[in-house]
Amino acid sequence: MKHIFLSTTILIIVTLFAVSVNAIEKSEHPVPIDDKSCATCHEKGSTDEMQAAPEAYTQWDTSLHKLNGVSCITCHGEESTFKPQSTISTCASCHSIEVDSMKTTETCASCHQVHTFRPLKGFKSPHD
Amino acid sequence: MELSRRNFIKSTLAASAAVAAGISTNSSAVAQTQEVVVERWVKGVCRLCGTGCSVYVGVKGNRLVAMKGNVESMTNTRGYLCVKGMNIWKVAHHPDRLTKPLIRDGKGVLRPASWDQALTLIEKKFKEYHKKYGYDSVAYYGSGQCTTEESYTFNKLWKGGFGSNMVDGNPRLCMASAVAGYMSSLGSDEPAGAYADIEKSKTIFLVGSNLSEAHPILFRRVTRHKKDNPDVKIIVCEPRKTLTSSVADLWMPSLPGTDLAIFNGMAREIIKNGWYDKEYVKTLGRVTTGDGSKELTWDDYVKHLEKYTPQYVEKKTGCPAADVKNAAKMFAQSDATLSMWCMGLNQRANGVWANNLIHNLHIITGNYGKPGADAFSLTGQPNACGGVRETGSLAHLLPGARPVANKKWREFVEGYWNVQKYSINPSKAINPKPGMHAVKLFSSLGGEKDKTKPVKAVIMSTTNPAQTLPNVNKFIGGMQDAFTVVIDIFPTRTAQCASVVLPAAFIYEKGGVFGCSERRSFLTDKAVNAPGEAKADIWIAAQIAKRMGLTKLIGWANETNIDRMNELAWNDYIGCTANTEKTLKGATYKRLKESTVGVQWPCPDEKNPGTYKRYVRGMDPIFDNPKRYGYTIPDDAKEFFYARPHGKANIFLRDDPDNSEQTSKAYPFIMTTGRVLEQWHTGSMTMRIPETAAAHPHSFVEINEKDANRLKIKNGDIVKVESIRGSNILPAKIVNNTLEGVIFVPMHDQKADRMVNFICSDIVDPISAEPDYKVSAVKITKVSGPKKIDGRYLVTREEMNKKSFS
Amino acid sequence: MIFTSAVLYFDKDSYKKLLPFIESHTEVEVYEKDIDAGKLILVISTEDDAQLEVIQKNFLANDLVIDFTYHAIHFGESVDKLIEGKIEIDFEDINSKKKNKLQ
Repeated sequence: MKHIFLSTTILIIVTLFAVSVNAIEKSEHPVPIDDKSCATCHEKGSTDEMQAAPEAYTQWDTSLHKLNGVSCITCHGEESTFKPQSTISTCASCHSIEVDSMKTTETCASCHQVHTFRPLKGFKSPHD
Repeated sequence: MELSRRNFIKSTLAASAAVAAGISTNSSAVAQTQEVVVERWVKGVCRLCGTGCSVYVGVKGNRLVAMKGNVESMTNTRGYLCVKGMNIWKVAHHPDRLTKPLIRDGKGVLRPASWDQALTLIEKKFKEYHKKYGYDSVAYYGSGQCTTEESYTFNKLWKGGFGSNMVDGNPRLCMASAVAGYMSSLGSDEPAGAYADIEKSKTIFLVGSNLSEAHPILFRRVTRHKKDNPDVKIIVCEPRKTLTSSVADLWMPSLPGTDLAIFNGMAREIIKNGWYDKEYVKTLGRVTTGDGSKELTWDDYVKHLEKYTPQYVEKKTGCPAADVKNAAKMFAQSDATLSMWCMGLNQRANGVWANNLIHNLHIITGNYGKPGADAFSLTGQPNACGGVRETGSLAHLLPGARPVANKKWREFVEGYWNVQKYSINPSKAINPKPGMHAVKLFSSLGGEKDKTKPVKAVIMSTTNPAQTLPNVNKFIGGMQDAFTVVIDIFPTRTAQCASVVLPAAFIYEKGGVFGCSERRSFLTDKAVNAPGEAKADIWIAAQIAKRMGLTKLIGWANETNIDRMNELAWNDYIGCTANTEKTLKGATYKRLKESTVGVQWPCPDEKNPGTYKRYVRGMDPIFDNPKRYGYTIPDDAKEFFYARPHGKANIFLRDDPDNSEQTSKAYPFIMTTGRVLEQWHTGSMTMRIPETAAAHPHSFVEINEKDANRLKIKNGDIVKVESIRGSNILPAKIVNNTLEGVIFVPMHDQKADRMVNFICSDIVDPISAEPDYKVSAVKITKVSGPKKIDGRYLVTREEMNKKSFS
Repeated sequence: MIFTSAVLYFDKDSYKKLLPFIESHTEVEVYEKDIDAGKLILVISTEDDAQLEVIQKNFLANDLVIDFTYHAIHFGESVDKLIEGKIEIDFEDINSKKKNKLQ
C-alpha cells in the first residue's frame, strides 16, 4: 500500500489547480424529488420533510424573482436537469442587457446576493 | 476540518479526476442552458401566450439549443422571458414528435401512411361529403396558435373556395366575448391602446385575470412600474387571492359570475359623487341597451344604476361595500386608468356584458385616448388576434374582422378573391349566412349514419377540443364517429379521436407571423427543419386546395418553398384588408423580416411607424384619410370612435342576471378554473418539458380551509369533484386565499380522471357563444387519504389507438 | 481523514445493478458520472490508507467493474502528523526488489 502513497503523491498536484474551481458540486439532487414542490423540504417551517437550507428559500420568498414567477426550477432545473448552482447563461436568458454590459469578469452572484438578488451596497455598478 | 473546506477539497479532487477521465463537468444530463455553443440566433416570437414576447432561438446545426429574449422588444421589454418561454424550444426535438401521417384502420389502430395516401383519403371524403351532404358538411376548426398566413389560407379556401362559412377556431372559447364587447361598445375589435400604457398609467384595474400566472411578463411590467412609481394604484378584483393580488393596493373579492354588479356599482358611485367626465360623456358617449340600436338618455342610465348600491353589491358578490366605493374613487380620480382583463370576464354566461361594463367605466371617466388610459383585453393565445380575429377566421366573419352578413364588405371580398370565377360551389359566392360556432359545430359533428349531425367531417389544427370543450363528454363520440383530421405535433386527446393524424411543423420549423394582444404583428423566421415528414399547415392547405381544384384561388398552392408560400399568403391578406381600419399594408414581408419590433396596425403604408393609440388624431392614421376606410370623421374631432356612427362609444345598460349554473343543495360549491404559471393549455407541450412538468405534474383542487374543515378534508386527501356532467378525482390543496364556497381546479391535466372539462358547464354567452368555464356547480366528497399521484400524464402514441380515455 | 478521488470504469449497461453496490460503501460518494461511457468519478473519505485499500479490493472483485483507479489523494492532517513525527513511514515495500508481474 505504501507504494500507492508515493506514486500518487507524485501525481496531479498541478492538475488539482488546473481546473477552474467554482465549487463544482454534484450534479444530482441529493435525495429523490418525486415531483414534490421545492418548498416541501426547503421552506422554513415546513414539517413534511427534514428541512434543507431554509435560508435560501426565505431569501427567495422576499425577492422580485418570487413576485415575478422565477421559481427554483427556473434556475436550478428539475430532477433530470438539476444544477445546484445556476450559471451566467441562465441569468442571460432574461437579463442579457445586464450580462452584456458587464465590464468586469465577475459573476452575477458576486454582487447580487443569492437568493434575494438585491445588489450589495457600497460600490459602483459595473453595468454603467 | 470544517465542512466547507472539506467540501472544497473533495470537489477539487473530483473535478481534476473528471478532467483526466474525459468527463465534462456538469455532464449532459444537466440543464441545457449551460454554456452552450450557439452557431446562430434566429429572430422570432414565443410560441405561447398572447403577450407576444419576442425572442431569439439559438441554433446549432439543425437543432434548437437555447432561447433568449429580444432586448429591443416592445412587448417583453428588456428581453425578459418566463419559465415556459425560456424552455419552449425543448419541444422541437422531443422523441414524441409525430413524424408520419397516420390513418386509422378498421380495427381502430392508427397506421403510418404516406402523405399521398392521407391526402388522397381526405380529398375523397371531402368531395364525397360535399356532394352527398352539402358544402357545410365539411368544416375547418383552427387555432390562435396557427400563423396568420395559415389561418388566412384555410379561411379563404373554405369561404371563397367551398362557399362555406363552416370555419371556426378555439378563440371562440376564449376571446369571442371580448370581440363582441369591443364591437358593440367601440365599433371595432381589439384594444385602442397598447402595453406602453402600462408605464404611463396612474391606476391599474386588474379584473378577471391572474396576470402573475397567465401573462407573467406583463405582470413584471406592472410590478416594475409600481415599484418605480409607488403612487400608482393597483386594484385587483378576483375570486382568489392569487400572487397577482400581492401588488394590489385594493383587493376586491367577487364570487365567480357575479362581478357585473361590481362594475355597475362602481359606475353608480362614480356618477353619484360627480367623478365622471361630463364633457367626454357628452361628446364621445351614447347611452343604449340591448343590441345598441336604440339610443337612450343619461337619466335612463343613472336610473338603471340605482339598484347597484354598495350594500346590494356586497350581498350579491361578497365584495365589501367600502371596497366598491374605494375602487370607484381610485378608478375615476386618477389621471389615467388602465384596465386589463382576460378569461375571468370572457369565459362567462354574460361575458359580452361584462366587457361592455368595463368599457362603460372608461367612457364615463374619459379613460380612452390619452397615455396610460385604456380598456385593454388581454389575449390568451399568441395569434388569436392576428391569425383568427383579424383574418376573420370565425364562422361569422371575413378578413378585416368584418361580418360576413355585411353585404358591401362581402361583395368586396368576393371580388378581391375572384370567387365568382374560382369557387367550386355552384353558388359562386361567399355564403351570407354565418356558419356554426365551436360548441354548435362539435354538437353537430357525427357519423354519416347519424341524421341529427349535419357536419360529417372536420379538419383541425393546433388545438385540442377533445380536452378543451366544456362538458367534453358530449363531444368525444361525435369526433370519433365523424371523419376527423387532426394536424398536430404531439399525440393529444383529439388525435386519439381522429380518423387521420397529420404531423405538423413547429413554429421555429416553418416561420410565420403572429399578432399579439396589442395589435402587433411579428415575423418568426424558420430556424431548423421539421423532423421526419412533418409539414407546415400552409403546405397542407395548399395540397387540399390543389386536390379540390382551387389552385387559382390559393395562388401560392404550387410553391414549394414555405417561406415564399407564407409571403404570398401574407401579401394576399394585407391586400384584402388594406382598406379596413386593421390595415397592415405597410407591414410588407421584407419590413417584418428586418424589424426587431414588429408592426402595430393600423399601418397603411411603409412609412407609417405603426399605431400606438387608436381613435386619436395625430396617432391614428385612419384620421388622415377616413373615406378610404368607409368612415367619416369631422375635421375638428381630436378623438373619435370612427367605427361607430357619430364617433360615440356605447354606454350599455346591462343587468347582472344569474345565468351561470347556480349552486344547489346537491351541488353546493362553485368551481372555477384557470391556469398555473408553468403549464400551457392542455399540457401537450409543457408536460413534455422537464422543468414545467416538474413544477406542475398534475392537477389539484384548491379548497378553502373553512370548507375543508367542515368536510373533514386534509391537505393531500384524494377528493371527488362532481357536477351533473362528470367528475374528477383530485388531490386537495387546502388554502386560505379563496372565498368560502369556491373551489379552483387548473385546466392543464390530460389524465382522464383529472380533465376538468368533464365537469365544466357548457352554458354559452347568447351573443358570443363563448362557454362559461368560470362557473360550474359541483359537490366534493372525500375518497381517501393522501395517495401517490401518477403525475406528468401524457397521451402516448399507443393510447391514441384506444377508444376510451385513461 | 484521507480524501481520494478515483475513476470507476464499469459496464455501462449495468449501471443500475452496480449502484446499490456503490451505495453500500458509505465512504464512497459519486461526484460525476458519464453513464454512456461507463465512467464514474468517486470521492472516498477514509480514516487511513488501509481502509482505502480494502475498498479498492472490493471494487476490483466486483464483476461489473472494469477498473478502479486512483487519481489523487489528499492526506490532510496526516501530513501534519508526519512532520510532527507522529507517524512512521515504512519504506520496506519501495526498497524491496520484488516486482509485480505484469498482468
